[in-house]
Amino acid sequence: MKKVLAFLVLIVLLGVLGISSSDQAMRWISKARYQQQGNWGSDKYRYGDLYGLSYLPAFRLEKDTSLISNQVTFAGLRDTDLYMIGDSYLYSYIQMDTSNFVRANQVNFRKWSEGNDAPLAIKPSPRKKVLLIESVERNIWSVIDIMRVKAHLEGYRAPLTWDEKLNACLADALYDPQLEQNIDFTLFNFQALSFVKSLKAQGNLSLFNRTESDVVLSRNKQFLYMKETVDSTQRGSSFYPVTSQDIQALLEQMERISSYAHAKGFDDVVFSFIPNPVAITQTESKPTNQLIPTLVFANQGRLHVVDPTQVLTQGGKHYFFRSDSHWNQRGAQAWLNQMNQYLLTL
Amino acid sequence: MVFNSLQFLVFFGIVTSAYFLLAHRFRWVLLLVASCYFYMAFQPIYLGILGFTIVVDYYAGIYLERFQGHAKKLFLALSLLANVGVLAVFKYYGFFTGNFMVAAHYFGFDVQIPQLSILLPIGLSFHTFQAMSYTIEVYRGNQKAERNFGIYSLYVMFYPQLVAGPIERPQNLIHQFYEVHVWDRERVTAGLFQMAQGLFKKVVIADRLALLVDSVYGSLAIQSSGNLILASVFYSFQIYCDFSGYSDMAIGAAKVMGFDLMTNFRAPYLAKSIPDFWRRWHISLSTWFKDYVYFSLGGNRVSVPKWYFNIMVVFIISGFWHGASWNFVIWGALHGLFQLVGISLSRRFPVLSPEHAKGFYLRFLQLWTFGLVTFAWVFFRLAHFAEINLYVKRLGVWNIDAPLGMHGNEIILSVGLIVGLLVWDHQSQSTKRIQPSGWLLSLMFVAIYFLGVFSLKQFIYFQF
Repeated sequence: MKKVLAFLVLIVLLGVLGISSSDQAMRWISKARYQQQGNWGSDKYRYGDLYGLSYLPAFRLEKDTSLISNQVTFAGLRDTDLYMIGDSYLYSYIQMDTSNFVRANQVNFRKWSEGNDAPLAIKPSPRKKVLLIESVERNIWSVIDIMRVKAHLEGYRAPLTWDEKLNACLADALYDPQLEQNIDFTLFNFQALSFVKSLKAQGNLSLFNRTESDVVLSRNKQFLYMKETVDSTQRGSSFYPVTSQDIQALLEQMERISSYAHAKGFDDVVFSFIPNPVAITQTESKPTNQLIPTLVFANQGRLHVVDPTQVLTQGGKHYFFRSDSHWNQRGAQAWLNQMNQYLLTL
Repeated sequence: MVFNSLQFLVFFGIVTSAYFLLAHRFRWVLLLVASCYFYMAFQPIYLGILGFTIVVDYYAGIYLERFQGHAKKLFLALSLLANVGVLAVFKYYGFFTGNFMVAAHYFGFDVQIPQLSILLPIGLSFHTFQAMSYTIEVYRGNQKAERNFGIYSLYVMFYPQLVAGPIERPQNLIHQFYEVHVWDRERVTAGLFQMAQGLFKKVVIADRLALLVDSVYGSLAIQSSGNLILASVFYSFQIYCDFSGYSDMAIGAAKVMGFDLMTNFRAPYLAKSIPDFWRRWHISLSTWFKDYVYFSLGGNRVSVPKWYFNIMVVFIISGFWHGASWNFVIWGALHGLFQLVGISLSRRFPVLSPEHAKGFYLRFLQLWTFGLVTFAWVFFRLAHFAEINLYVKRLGVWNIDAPLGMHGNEIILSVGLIVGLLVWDHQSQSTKRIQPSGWLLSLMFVAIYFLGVFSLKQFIYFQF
């Protein structure tokens, strides 16, 4: 009997490890759980990604997950090939195809999070080639880097020493870097358990005024933010002090990226930076670092930048989903309109 | 892979169930493979460093047994040199060259020594010391050289105690790999209970206290005396719960499979003197230093000045063992100094000796010892002289508005947990210990879930 029990434990745990180590299996299990509505379904992202981290019951708000599509009825010449490198602010909200972009004959989108095995290849065509580099404010410091862009456009990798290569090779073979999150999802991400998680979250909030470590509640208790965007000791924060040297360093990287992309054959290079939600909703009673406006001002029109700060500020809180680290469809639509305005000027 | 992770939960379940399913002759292979996997989860390539010391010490053991006289001493020296050499390169190279360059600059010389851009292999000081203890014991004739290379490798790499101890002695551990361990429900429950106890200490107490400690120590420039004292007291308990929590989990995990590892902590904050503290704190390391360094220097069977010198040497080395930084040296030296003052007072005023203290005097001595230990921990926590300087300056500032980074209710809970911990420690010393049982274990896991701060925070001692 003990042997049978041990055998069962072994099989179940090997199964959990196998599933959690496989990207394909995780995609399958995630899809199956999101389609399921009952106790065996998952609500990790159904109510916003920050709800899925904090489980605060007040933020269990149904999220619209539809993609914006067919937004332009453009009758003019489709004379542009659009290439984009961006993040979930775009691909999670906007259908990345020609139905949303004026003048676009083709849209080629690449996520910052993708590996550099299959770079974003430039397809030969007589049309104008436009490269959009998009980033949310909190990631600017890591992605606005010529090496990152090179990695995405030509699969460039920084040279590794033999021991780094061996280490990376062994680590790749043995561990999925997402293993911890995947095991958590596999074992504990059921709606049936959300009640327990919410109980703990609400207890922590009521008794200790504390949320889960990566999430922060706004001062007016209306919004959840990623801690990284609010904690003034972290680089991605809208409250992290920014110096003129920092701005110059970013501009220098942007110039290098622009020159490099032009040399690669792009006719136009445009940057777009999405402010952190906290920089727009203005719920905290302290001034933000104004990173994006300062950067745009310092650029003085030398490089092309689509800056949605002003448009988003006008819409304010209506452009952001309360329990998510992103904007909502209205915010995405506002950016899309602005981007199309820019494309019409080319 | 840290003990307070889901990866470890799955790993432990797989290894333990497979261990009891496998025939005895294959178990050491399973444990060795599992230990390699466990270690490689941190930095795979550092397995090579571990492999190097294992090969050197394995052959050193065999040759130490085969030869006598000068040759024997030579093999011991070579083995120790290899182990200390690994430590010197990976842990202390930057410290020595950095200090040498600063000193040279001070005397007007501009010396540039290339720096190694390497990460410190996790748990290096622990497994290196365990490996050294093997060759020393073989040299002394207390342990037979292990002929099975796999078993010897397992002695150094046994995953529960690989990265943060307890630093085992070969006489205690190696023979256990040859013993047949059968499933024993009571033993398994006791092991799981000890693991739960360790996890509770780590995620409920240590990681909660860290919220305040990190906040206060991270903003020294705006802190006040009250906050600094509170943070220092909290840090004393944070580091205790963090490290003894790890040891409990290590000992418990081994116990589930039938192995007995040595006790590493015995209610250290109930100590009535600094020597007593060191008989209760990180016992596997303090006995290592006592057995292999202090006694080798002559211990207390020498003149009084030499005895005092021996004590200071041991404590300074012990501080240096923790990290290649001056603050650890100061921390060690402070403990040495406290010992010397305590010994001198006891010799001069035997009536004050803590040995026979009772009642109020005993409580006073416990509190005094805790105060001294807490004072020394400040130097352990603050790595730079500028920070220590700032800490001392801010001790003179009284400002009730300085941020603590923790809600009042949580401070009350933290204090309650500390009191509970001391009561638990006191209880665990008596014969009326709480006996582990299934329901208590379940209750413990519920408490861990609801009270735990799950931040996957590394154990403090992993860096050593």
